Amino acid sequence: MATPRTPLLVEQLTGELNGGTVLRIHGELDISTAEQLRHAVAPHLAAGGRLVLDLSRVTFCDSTGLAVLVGFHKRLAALGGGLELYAPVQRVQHLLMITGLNRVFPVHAAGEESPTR
Amino acid sequence: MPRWRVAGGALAGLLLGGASAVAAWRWVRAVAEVARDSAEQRLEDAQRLAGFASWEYDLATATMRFSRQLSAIVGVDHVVGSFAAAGAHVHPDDIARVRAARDDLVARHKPFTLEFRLVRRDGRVLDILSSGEAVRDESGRVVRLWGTIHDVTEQRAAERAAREAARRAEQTRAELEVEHQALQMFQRAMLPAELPRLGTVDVSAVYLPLAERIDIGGDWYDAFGLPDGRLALAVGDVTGHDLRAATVMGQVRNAVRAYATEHPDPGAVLARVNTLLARLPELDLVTMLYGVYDPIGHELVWSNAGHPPPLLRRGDTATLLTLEGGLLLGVVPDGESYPEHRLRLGPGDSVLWYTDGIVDHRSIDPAEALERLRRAYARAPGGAAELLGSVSTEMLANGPREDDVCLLVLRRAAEPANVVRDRREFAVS
Repeated sequence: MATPRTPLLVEQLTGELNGGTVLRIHGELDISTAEQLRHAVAPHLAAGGRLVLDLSRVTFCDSTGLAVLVGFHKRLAALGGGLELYAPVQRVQHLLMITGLNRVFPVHAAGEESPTR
Repeated sequence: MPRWRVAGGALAGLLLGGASAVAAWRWVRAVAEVARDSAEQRLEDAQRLAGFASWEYDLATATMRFSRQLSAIVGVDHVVGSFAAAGAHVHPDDIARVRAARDDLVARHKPFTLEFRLVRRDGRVLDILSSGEAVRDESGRVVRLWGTIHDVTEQRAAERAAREAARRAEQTRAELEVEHQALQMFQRAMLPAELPRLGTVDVSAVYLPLAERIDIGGDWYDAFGLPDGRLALAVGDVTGHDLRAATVMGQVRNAVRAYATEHPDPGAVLARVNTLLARLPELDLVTMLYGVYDPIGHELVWSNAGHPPPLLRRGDTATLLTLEGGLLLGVVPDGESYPEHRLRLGPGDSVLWYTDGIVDHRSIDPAEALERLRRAYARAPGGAAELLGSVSTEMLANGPREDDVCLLVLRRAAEPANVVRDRREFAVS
């Protein structure tokens, strides 16, 4: 039931974006990968601060995936930090817009201060 | 190879007689021994590899002979013994069957194949598949009995494990099925048993669960009369597909009814539900459309909390009402506002509210799916129920869904109602 259709991969990019850690996520964010994503990102939440998730390689995200992102944001916000998203694909942008979450996390367009090395 | 063939060779040697006969005998015996030894070795090797062993019983000498492999399986060190001794290792519960088969073979030369347990000297119990038959010479006389035993312990253990795994899987499936049925009952109980029936406006709604999924969604719809005679409508979706999502859905659905009865304005109801949700210890996110329809003035007032935009059908066109909405519910506890939108329905106008399962599939571009929904809605015929049936049939015909779906249509009657009804008729009964 919860077997990922595609493996989820989280890589830490060298360098920083606006002084925050940058993690690039590859795969689909849904019920099958939610726990993997929580586990992979958890070490980067403990310190608070700014965390940038590069979503350019995330091909699908559903409401469960969104809930995980909101969870990250709440953890970071409680420690005085926050979550930022980089270059979500169009369908993820669409979802962020409908849900209003693009007003909660800063969403950076692709090319805008690229977080790549 | 059987020993009596060697004895036959010795007899041939003796008959030749003399010195040359002695040399010939030695040669014959050497060849026979090499042949016998290598053939026996090959047979033993084959038996060891195949996990089976053999025995033979020579009627002339009343001697039982085990292959070395049989001795290894049984856990004894001798290779020659009596028929009686051979039965000594059979499991007590199986001994009667084994004896009966043996006696039939000895007395009536009746072949057998049977499975029994064998207890090794070290206490290990083996599953043995055994067969035996009589061997006759050219004249048809039975000269010996022989048979094989096959150690099938691992195979039987694997079969038992497979049966056990299948039984456990079936049990788990049955438990999930029970849970699924309980969730479905709960979900159905949360949906209104019947929708308010008004003369000037039709409301129709449907919940389409995903039959092949054991879990269920947190989608719901609701429609109920308010004390002031107006009609309240809600369509929403809770994150997740489990018991928790179902219970949150139930709480939100009831909270909406309670808040709406006190103070039905859409922006106020959504703000209060948001505060309620954001204060729950777990993170539960809900998207929702909530609105109030006045069946006299035909005005719909609604607010959107992070939910896919409604559609308006007017004449032959359908339009997406992508108006400013508020954040989905449950993210931030306070201060979130939900703008209200107003729309006056003309005769025959309708609005369609839906949950994202109808347009959200990872293999389809969501904008394209939304456009398909818009077109299906634009050409759907008839009143609210027909509109709903037509749209859901057309959308569901377009391949598999990944999620549950709720659809709700509110349609103002095309013709002016014959009777202008009193508002009290729509009041909560």
